[in-house]
Amino acid sequence: MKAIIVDDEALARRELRRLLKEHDWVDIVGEAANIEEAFILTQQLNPGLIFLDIQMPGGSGFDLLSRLDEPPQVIFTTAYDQHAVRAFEVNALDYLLKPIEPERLAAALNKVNSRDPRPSDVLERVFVRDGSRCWFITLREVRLLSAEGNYLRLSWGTLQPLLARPLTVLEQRLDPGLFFRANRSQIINLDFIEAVEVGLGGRLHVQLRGGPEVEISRRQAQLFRRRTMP
Amino acid sequence: MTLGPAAYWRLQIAGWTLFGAINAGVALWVAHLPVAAAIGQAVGLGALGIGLSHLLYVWIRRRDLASRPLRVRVAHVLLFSVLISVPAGILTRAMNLAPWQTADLTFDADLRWLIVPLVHALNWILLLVVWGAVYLSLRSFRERALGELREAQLAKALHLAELRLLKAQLNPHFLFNALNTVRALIAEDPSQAQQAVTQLARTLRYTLNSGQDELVCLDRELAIVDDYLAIEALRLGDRLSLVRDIEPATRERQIPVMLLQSLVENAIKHGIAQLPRGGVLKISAATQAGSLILTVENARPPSSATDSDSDSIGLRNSKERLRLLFGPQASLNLDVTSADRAVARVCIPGNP
Repeated sequence: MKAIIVDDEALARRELRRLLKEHDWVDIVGEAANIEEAFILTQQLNPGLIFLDIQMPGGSGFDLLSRLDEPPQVIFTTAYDQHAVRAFEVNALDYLLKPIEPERLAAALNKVNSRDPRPSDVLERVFVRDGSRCWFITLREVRLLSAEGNYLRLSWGTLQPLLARPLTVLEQRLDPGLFFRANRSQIINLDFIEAVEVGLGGRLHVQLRGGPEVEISRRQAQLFRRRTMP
Repeated sequence: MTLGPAAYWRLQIAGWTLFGAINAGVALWVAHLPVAAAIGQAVGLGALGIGLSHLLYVWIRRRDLASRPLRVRVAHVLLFSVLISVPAGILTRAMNLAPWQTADLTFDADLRWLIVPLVHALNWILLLVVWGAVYLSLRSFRERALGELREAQLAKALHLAELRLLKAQLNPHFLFNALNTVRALIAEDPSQAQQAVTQLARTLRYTLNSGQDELVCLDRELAIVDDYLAIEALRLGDRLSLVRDIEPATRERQIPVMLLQSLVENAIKHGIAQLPRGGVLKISAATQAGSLILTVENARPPSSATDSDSDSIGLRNSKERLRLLFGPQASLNLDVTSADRAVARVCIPGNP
């Protein structure tokens, strides 16, 4: 699978390359020494995996991820920032401490989903950075997306992080079989619908598992009936 | 610290109950008193004992005797016992307690009013002196134990502080990156790897051996800065360009150990390493009107005005050390008014 190495130290990149020789299914297609190079490289090569150093000149590894529309799978490499990676809490693939142990590298690679991403219109995951916390969020786990100006609030488990993308842009990349535009500012995940009630004036109210209740606009009601009650 | 009040009263009641019981025994089997009278003797003597010894306790605490020299303690306990024994003897006689103490004495009946209380008083003196000795030794045992505990806690806190300082000085981020560099060099260039290990070892040894208040000559500190920069140059490649301007006359001057080194580390960490294209690090040493002027000047990214907490603590620590070692004329300033440069300037006055 296609992979790139992002690290500001040439020696560290070469060392990782050497370690990866043992795993010939990982094909290193490029190297970047800073965030800017890494961003361009990712856009050009669309790798399935990034080995990403955290502290780099011109911005951290987290900065890179939050600039990517659709981040690939990530294995962090760091000399001493494991606490920064742990702040990640959720589903970063793994992190490796430098100097990297070959056994740890093998274990991390075992977690990689080895199929290359097919170029697809449907967005599966986003990287969200809210304050000092970061998450990889699988979109099918998000029950509600609400526009807040040019931002987007995701209702995901008990959290409601803010994503710096407008709703209308993201909407075009959502799985149309799963997500439904409920009204001007909200998109709901159909898998999370718990109950539908008819309110005053025939308005439809959808109760989502884990809250809240969302109103379906008059314009969308007919479409909603057709989608959910065949 | 004293015996806790609960422990004090438990010991008092237990001790004087035992004393009362012994006296009841004497009353029954030696003086052949009736049972009711024997119990009366026990209660009376026990109560008097508790009262008198508690007065001694108050006396000791009021004068804080436990912290005074031994002879003062002995003198006070004796003085109190003698003073209190007069009313105690009279009271004992008046309540007709412990009549067996004087039953066998043969003396002039005219002197009975004097002799009987006197014998009682002597008995009380003996009892109170023993009580005082027991009380004071219990207290000093306890205080010694508490003192040892406090000392152990203090030592532990000191060790923790030392450990934290050491960790900050070791700069783990640098250390692990350096080890990673060496690992890469072993495959690519073994002789350079050997050299890097030597330089790393020298840097570590210097860091570990340097105490907080130690002075070194500038020459020695510069040698370590060179070792450190050689390792950083391996990591940073051509991003690090170094300019050195050291006046030969300054090389023998004394500076606080690790002072220049920590400034250079900061310049790399917050300056050069943050720049994708790197920049110039300039280290200079000169004398100005007898004072030693050290400057560390580095390129830095425009946005990084904020230092992390640990770094500003490091800077404060360096300032404090300078002031303690060289007086108020010594100074350390970090100038970040320029958008793309930071300049640290140290001034160490010459010998007065």
